[in-house]
Amino acid sequence: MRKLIPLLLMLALAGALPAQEEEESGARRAPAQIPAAEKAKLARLLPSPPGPGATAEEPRFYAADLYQYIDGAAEAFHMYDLVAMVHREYKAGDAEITVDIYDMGEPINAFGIYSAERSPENRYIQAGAEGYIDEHVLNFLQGSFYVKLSGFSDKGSAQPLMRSFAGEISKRIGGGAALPAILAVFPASGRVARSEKCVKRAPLGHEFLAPACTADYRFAGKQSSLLISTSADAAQAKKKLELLKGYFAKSGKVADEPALSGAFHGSSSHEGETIFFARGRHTVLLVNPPADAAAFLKEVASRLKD
Amino acid sequence: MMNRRDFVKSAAATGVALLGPRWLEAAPALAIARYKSSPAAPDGVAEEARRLTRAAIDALGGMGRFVSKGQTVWIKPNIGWDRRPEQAATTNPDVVATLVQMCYQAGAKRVLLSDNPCNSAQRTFPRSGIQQAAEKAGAQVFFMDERKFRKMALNGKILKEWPVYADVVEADVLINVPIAKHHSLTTVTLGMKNLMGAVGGTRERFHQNTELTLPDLAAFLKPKLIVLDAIRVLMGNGPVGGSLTDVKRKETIVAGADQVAVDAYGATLLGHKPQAIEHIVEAGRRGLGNINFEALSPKIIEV
Repeated sequence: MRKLIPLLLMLALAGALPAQEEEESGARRAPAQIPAAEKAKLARLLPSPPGPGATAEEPRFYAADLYQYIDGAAEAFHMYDLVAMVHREYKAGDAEITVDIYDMGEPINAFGIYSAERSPENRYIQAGAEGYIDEHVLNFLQGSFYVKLSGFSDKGSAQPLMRSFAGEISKRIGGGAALPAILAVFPASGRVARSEKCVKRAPLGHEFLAPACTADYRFAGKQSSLLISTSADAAQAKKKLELLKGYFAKSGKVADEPALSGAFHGSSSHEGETIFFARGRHTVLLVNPPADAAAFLKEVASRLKD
Repeated sequence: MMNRRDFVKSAAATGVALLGPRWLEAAPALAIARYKSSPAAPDGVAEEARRLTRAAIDALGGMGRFVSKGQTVWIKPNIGWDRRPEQAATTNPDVVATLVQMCYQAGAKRVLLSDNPCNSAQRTFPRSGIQQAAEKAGAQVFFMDERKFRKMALNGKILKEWPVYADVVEADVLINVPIAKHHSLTTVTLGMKNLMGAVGGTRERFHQNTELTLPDLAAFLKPKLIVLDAIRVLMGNGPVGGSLTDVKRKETIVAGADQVAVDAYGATLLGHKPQAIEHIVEAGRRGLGNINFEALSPKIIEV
């Protein structure tokens, strides 16, 4: 019996630990109870109240109950596998600053939700891997964290304070301040600025292509989209290629693409024209390709090393 | 004392509406007031809000159509977020204040105003500007008291019972004053979604079947008048928003007694066909109003 006690304890503990639930949508739901270690990790990122007289309220933590704080906007964070977030309110002089730090678990998730919310029209600044500011908000991402600051002041002190907070939080997060490596594969020439996005669910309506990153391009006035779906290994990437061939064969037509060895050209009334191929553990789609896509496709293929 | 719900039932039973004054029969069910210019200065936007609100209500036959002497009115704006008016996450304060004034001018005894916000009420009420503007106009603005939520029989398809703020149901008239916004879960947040701020309970339960829960709530609360603020519209990243790049000026106030028609028109302002918004379709299907707002021959006013 004594030998059984540790086992029973472990089983009991496992039952008590917050497990991530798999939703019908495929999104992993954040745990209902946030582990103490996760709370401590987030709390360490919070800036200190800025100077004498400044105050800060007790931090609040959210995970599965994020809807209580941001209502339906919580769903998007869950779609990108939110782990937990911390919210804290500060006062310094007439400025009121709100700090929200979301731990998205992986840099690609943080970029996913950040890129879903950003607009090319935002005023971009040096903050983390990328960030932007306007009158009342400063948002940036760094590593696995998406940081959202909100500030109000009638005397113009909110913006400098938000910048200062962003710098302090960035230091506390530490590590490199680079965007996810997969984004470097997207050629810069012709790319629409800040159009890169990473999608966790059903890119182009195909669940099997998830997860994927995309960017828009303009070639001679015509818009194209490049999508790179990343798999665990080359076999899975090839399987996705076969699924795509099957899809186009069923919904339209598919043929070999002469512009790149091993590529195919599919067309259907829904997707229009698409060139697709696999390299390493990646499956690549160029939707609405330009008339001469050969050089572009070769460049993308050459950038995919694994 | 007959409360609002009793009155609605009684009016329906006796055909009071059909026996009403001639102007009431001729009054349109939907009015759309649009501003010809797009002022940038805060004073200009405030003037726009006041003029559009008055024009829309006047086009419906005036506030006297909805509020009678001695009545208690509950005004329900969106005060859910710690945001300033220019961020377009909360209802324009001057729209709200104008409605308060018009209610008193119509003879209201009391105008009550509150919301059950997502962010702290202590921050959202003053930040939105609604608390100051409504109080100045004479409304009683207060934070909701947890103890006043009462479990009520909604008898909806999903919501059989739900905690609703007692004062809302006990008021003679409910005026719903949402702002038009994108919503990442329900695509749009307009009138019916705004009613969630009149109830308690867990929001997640609502979110599991919004296409059914929102019509359940709309069928129970039956606002007598809906005034949709679409002067500034949050086109993306709703309902929270924050970034001014997500805000587009539409310079419009929509008012009506038909909550489905108001939402249906509101959806078009956000670039959606109302037939694509599930809870609007469901509410129309249940007979809560007319999704085909054009059929109501809306009165369009250019100011």
